[in-house]
Amino acid sequence: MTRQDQLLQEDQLHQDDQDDTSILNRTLPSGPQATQFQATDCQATTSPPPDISALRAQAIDAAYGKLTILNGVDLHVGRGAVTALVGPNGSGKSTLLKVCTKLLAPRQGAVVLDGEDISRLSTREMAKRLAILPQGPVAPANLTVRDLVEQGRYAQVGPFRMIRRQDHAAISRAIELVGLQALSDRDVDTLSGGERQRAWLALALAQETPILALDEPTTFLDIGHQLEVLELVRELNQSQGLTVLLVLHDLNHAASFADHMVVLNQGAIIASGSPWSIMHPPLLRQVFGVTASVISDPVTQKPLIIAHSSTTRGE
Amino acid sequence: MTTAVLAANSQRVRGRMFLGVMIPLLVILALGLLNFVRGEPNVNLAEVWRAIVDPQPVEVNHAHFLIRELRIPRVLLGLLCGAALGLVGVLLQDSLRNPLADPGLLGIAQGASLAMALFSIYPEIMPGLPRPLICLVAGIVAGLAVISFSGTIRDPIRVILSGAILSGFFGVLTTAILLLAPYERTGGLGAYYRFVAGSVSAAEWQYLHMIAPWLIVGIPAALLSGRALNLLQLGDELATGAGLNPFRTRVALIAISLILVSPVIAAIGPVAFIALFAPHIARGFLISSDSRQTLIVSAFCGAALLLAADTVGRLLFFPAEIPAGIWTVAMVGPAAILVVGRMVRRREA
Amino acid sequence: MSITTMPERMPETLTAIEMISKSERWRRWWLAMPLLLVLCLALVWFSTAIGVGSVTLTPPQVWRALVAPENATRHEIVASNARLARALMALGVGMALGTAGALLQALYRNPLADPGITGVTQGAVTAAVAWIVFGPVLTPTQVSWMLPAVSALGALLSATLTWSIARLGGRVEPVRLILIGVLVGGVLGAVTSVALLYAGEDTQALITWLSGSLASVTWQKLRLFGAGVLITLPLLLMAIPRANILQFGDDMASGLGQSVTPARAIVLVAACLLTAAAVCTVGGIGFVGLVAPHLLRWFVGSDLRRLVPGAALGGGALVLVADLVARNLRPADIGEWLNIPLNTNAITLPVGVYLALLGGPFFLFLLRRMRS
Repeated sequence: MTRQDQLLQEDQLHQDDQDDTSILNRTLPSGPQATQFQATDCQATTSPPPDISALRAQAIDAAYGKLTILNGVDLHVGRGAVTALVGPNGSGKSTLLKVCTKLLAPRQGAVVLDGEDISRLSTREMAKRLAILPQGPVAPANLTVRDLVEQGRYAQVGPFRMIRRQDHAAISRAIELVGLQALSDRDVDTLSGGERQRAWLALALAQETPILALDEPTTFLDIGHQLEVLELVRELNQSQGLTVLLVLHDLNHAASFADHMVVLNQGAIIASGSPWSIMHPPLLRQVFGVTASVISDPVTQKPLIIAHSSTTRGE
Repeated sequence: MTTAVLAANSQRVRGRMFLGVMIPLLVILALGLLNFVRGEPNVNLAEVWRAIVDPQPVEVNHAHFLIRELRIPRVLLGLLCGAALGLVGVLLQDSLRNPLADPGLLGIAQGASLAMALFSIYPEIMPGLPRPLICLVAGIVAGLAVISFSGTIRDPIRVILSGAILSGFFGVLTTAILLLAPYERTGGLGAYYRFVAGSVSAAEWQYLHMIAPWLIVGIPAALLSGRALNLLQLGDELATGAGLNPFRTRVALIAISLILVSPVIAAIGPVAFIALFAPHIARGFLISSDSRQTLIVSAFCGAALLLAADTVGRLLFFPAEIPAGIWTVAMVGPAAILVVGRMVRRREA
Repeated sequence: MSITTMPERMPETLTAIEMISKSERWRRWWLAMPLLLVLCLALVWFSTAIGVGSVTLTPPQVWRALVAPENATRHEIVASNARLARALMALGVGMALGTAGALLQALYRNPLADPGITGVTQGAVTAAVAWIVFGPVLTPTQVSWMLPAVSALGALLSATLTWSIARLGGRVEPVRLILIGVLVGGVLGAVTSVALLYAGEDTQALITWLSGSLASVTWQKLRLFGAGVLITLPLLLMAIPRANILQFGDDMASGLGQSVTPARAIVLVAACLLTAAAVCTVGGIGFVGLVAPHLLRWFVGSDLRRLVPGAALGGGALVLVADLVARNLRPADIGEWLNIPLNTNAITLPVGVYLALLGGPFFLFLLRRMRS
């Protein structure tokens, strides 16, 4: 207990170092837990959202049939930043990504991309501005990497769907960016999990959009391949200036690879900000139902969670 | 308190079981009487009663003969075959843990029917072989081919597609035999319906004698396999843990269903959808998924379904007769569409 | 894992891209090789189909009969003409069904889908049979153009029905679409059987037609078929890229800039029209749409821009071969040899029987491969 308190204090110290701290407490579900969290963490200042947001979602309500998933969610995706959506199962993080990428029409609210409401953009226009890689995509059988990546040019190709010179260039560049040149004629089915995910990433990159949205790009991958993919995303963000919005399951991955984290719970955003401002034992306890410590990664200096026990069973 | 809840619960369970037996039974009684009474000529109930209780009347009139030699065997054949199909459906669905397992969708029915068409049109190829035995062998071959080739027979979509492709395959071959055979041997369209769609119209006592020994073995065996089915439903690991050899049990259960389905195909052809759908109706009646209850209720539901299809086919467009196999597809098909739709939605969720 | 493309190394990269672009052109030629092989195969079977029959004709004889009939014997002219029509029809029907199969497999994202089992063929067949049995008595000319229209309508109606039932539960998912297609096909099959009850003396002919037969091909039917396919061609050209992108899943297709529902409708309608064109001329021919796209997928891959031409040519070759067998294999001879009494009217079996004989085992083989 004393150790935890110590760590908590350490967190707060770290948090004070961060300048873009923001915790949006606006849609907290009422209840004893929630108030407890507000009481302990309200010292976090609510800073204005980043003024240049590549994508902005306003007051989103979304539902599958009668099942309401999102309830009045506001999201800002900073230009040139890696934004990670995290939250427990069923918190609506994938749904929010789908709404932001026009895969799902919200019941209420609007998503603004470069100052335009995406509901007014055609599917094709949307594909020229934002690339999305859905969760666990499945390629048809007998398809080479290059064939797969070529699909990324679907929205851009010229009349009669001819692949033009600039399309070939984009495809080759995308394959090169993910480092699959040597494998470009291989069948996608024969690749390893990490290579396959890189091929799918190349497909999205071939769209040559300023924004890339990824829905849990590391599912079904082992730890090595997970890092391989995430490091690649980070490098693309840095070298190409790509804005990245991704859903991640693993909090530690999100903390080490994202600039900005957004925590969802029960269809509402609980908190958002830099990893150090988000990773707090009380928040983890409230959102994920775990008792956890947050320490600093000895190598990267990013926050690292160590979960000790679940609190949901006892309550 | 808990025991009281359990008792009340089991009373509810028993009540639903009672309903599940009584409702099909009432349907069977009503339709059976309708079948005895209506037709060419219509007869009154007294005549029917006399025909049933008095096997050797002093003066044999036309109606008496008609009821004893045509209508009673037809109803009985429909009931027995329907009940057998209802049992087969439960056996296959619960042992393969696939709600769509059905002799038709597994290719067994059409394969057996193809052999039936071949050997009943050309009996000289293998003279003296009992028809159900032919169906049994052909059914085993067709079923083995499908199961061994598919490996994962559990994916419901794959089962449906395989079934559709296989019935197309065997159906075309059966048609080819019917096209090649001389007309006086096939009798034209009647044979087409018997072997491709399934029909009860050729019912005679002789058919009942043919299927009786098979069903006398098969029906009790099926009713006794409820416990094994219950265990298999829980999955192979758990069943093994409970002391059951899943592979051997499954083979035995499939053998029982083949023993039941072979005489049915020999007598009335590959009637579709009854084995698929009767267990689903039964599960709709019941609260628990206890296979022992499902087996009994499904047998009654299957009998009622087939009798209903045959009655409608015989009387709706009287005097023209539409084979029962067509009516089961037309009547049960839309219901099956709904069930499958719901099942797929549940799988997606 | 390193990123090779950095802004400061731009010129170098461009040359690399140019090099890839060049090798890409070669790669495309290489990928087209199997297509050329299938084309050759189809052509070989096509000339064989014209040459082989009750009288064997050499290619020069056929050529003379068709180009300069005044120099050819009457026999040569008749045989060449009839066989040419029949071979063209077999090729055309096979191409249409192979294409429809490739489109539907992509649409349903299921390698077992084909027009035969998803209710499309059955819709066309049922409409045609019902029209023949219950429809008004028409002159042969009227029949020749009404029947195709009716069966196209039937295929579309069946597809629409499938679509509407699938939509009852919300979004049109491929899985639900395919299952409902199968069951709608089953129910329509029952309707066909009822119609057959009233067919009277046409029964035998209709049953033959139900399994698909090329025996009654005429030039007029061929022209009608050609017209039907030509009308469908623009739609087909629209359908190919859409079906191609639908293979990757709904979210992917949508993310790549294709709205899913209209794309699905276009692909389905194109497949229906092609199937109807084939069915109304030769009947309920099966298995081509299943087998041809599969065989070709092993050689040219899943990309529909290559697979559709491949499956079309492969389907054409398949039907040509099957019809060659159907035309020349006389079951009566075999029956005599085996001492089995046969129907004296049945000189040959419909081509659909041979396609089923070929397709059934192939399907079992497919199931075995899919296990892994």
